[in-house]
Amino acid sequence: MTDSFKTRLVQWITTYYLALAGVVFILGLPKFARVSSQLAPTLEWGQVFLSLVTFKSLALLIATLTILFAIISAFLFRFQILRVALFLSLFYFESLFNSIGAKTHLFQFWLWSSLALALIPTLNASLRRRDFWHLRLGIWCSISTILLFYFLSGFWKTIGLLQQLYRGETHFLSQQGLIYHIYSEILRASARPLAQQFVTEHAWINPFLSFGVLLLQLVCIVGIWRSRYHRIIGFGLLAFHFGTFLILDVNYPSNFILVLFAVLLSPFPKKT
Amino acid sequence: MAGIRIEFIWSLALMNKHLRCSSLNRYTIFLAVYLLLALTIASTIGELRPVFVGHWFVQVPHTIDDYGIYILDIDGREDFKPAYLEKVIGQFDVWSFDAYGISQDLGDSIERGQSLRTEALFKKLQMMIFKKHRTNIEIHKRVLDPIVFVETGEVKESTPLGQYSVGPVSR
Repeated sequence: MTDSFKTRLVQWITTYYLALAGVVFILGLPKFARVSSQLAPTLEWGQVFLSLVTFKSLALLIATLTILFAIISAFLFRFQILRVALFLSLFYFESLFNSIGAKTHLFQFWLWSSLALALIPTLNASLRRRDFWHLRLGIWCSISTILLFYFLSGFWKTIGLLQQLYRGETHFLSQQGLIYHIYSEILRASARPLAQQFVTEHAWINPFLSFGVLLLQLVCIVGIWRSRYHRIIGFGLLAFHFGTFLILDVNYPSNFILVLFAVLLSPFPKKT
Repeated sequence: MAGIRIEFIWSLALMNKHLRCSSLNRYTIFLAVYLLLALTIASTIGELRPVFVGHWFVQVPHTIDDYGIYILDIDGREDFKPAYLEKVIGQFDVWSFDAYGISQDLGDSIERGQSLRTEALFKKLQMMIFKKHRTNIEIHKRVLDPIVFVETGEVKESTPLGQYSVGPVSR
């Protein structure tokens, strides 16, 4: 490993934790602050813990702890215990976030990619060769987790497509497919997609868009073994998120930020 | 609770020194186990937060089979025409996606006869949606075409599961 590559690894892991703290602060705290006084215990698994402790501000406390652990991990990333603590607080943060009403996908990728980083053992203070070996593998594992998510999402879309084709129903690659998805989002989330009118009026474009999404998500698995493709896949995923924002009003800033620096700005520009 | 149990046992197992293989294997085993878990969950129950949530937009929703809150009246207003919550969501201070999520949980618990869960969800419903308005509602199990519903508010089929009064008693 060259010295510049080692520097990139350290910069990457520091940026990862700082970005996570920022994302939780910007997206999580306002939401928790708004609803923490309204939380009622239910039998949903994520809120069982909350109902046991009967402490309404627990949600804010866990969000704050997550931010603190993320910041501390950024500067003391060599300690495994901090990374594990961050994962556990992020786990409860995610659980509570999904117990408020809507089920969101906002922090899912962060949770699992953080667990991958928590697998890196405590590193030596002088960061010896073996430590960098662990660091490289942990970061690879973290990015691979993200790529695996996208691949699985594409995989199940393909299975769904084949099932609907077999049953002779409107399917994902048909002109109406994307339009149904748009209206479903309007029903569930009162979405107001900017490109709704365009997609509805030019339905011939929909099969191409849908095919592009399927192809991109399936190709993500290649990035696990061929890290030199991280940048092009990262660029594609950013375009995908921008497209879903325009067409479906599905807005995932946390995923966008994660893909931006974890995949597009991957520390593995060449074959590792 | 299943989610918590799986997550904790797994994360603890990975930290156990006796279960560690070589370091390279630790990371590849992590990915392989996750892939296996995700595939099992998706093929059986679809999504299980926070283990796997990538089972969405899987099929085109040309027909939606769900639960809906049918609002009969708000504060006894005579000018109010009964409608599903989604069509009058602007009158309540709530994020639509939260409201839809609670509607589904509530409908499910009523249909399953889970009285404790239903009671807790009604509290949640009152605090999040109907905290300012005295409202009479019906919970419907419904089948709809999303395009037709958004354009006209009509559903293909609806079965009332019960009628309830929610919101503050006196204003």
